[in-house]
Amino acid sequence: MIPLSWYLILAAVLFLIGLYGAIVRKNAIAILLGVELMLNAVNVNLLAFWHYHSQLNGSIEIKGMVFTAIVILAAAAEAAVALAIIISVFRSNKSIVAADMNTLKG
Amino acid sequence: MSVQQLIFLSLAIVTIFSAIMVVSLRNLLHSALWLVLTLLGVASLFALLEASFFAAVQILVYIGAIAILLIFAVMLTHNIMSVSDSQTNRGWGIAIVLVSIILIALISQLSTWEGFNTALIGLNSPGQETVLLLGKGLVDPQGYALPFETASVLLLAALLGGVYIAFDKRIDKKT
Repeated sequence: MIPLSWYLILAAVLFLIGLYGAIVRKNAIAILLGVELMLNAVNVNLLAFWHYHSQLNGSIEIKGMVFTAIVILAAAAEAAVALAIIISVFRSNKSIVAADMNTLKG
Repeated sequence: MSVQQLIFLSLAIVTIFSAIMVVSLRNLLHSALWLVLTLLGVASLFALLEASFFAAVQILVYIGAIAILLIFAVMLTHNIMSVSDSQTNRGWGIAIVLVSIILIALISQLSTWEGFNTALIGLNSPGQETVLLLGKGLVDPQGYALPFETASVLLLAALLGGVYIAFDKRIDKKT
């Protein structure tokens, strides 16, 4: 029987690896890879707590699953829009380095 | 140590190792391929948590769609950043310190909670009762029909926005 703490620690480590990737990488697509890792860590956390709560109540709760479904959906929408923006910026700037995207800078 | 714990530990090691490879490799295509392995590890964790529906959704949506989309984007923008250049900015040392501080803070805070070491036992849900409950809850007006419909509108808006943003407007000018 796996303790809840193992899932929580794994999710925390996965989230922070993703955060590190999102902070330090130069390439915009690599930043997006970090964000995907963070969203996955959140899903692990949500489903671990869903299992915990269902087990505590003795009946299946669906709140946690609904949350997870919406997080997955938001992640799909985010990936599609972000990649469209990256390709659009690449077409006009010939660069996908996040630090070069400074057209709006005053 | 039970068999389940051994399975969890090996999955956790694979997931975390491939996550580290995703953020540290210089070749972005390799990072994207390691991300597929990470997503597969997370899908097996969902299966261990008895959320079999989400394990399937994870494989279909993340590995089938998002990872392939990312690989496409990597290939479309290839040869822009040379692999020999550094892929990280100057702040990586500070980032490692920051991330470790947050990790220690998170785990020390979580471990003060009394439910932290609860063993997760099997849910007694026969057959596919969990998926049936989720499906009924998502279309029930007393349940989660409104968030579900809002999410579908969000997905449609994201689809149209993505097509509009990525559309090459120079084609119009030539004709």
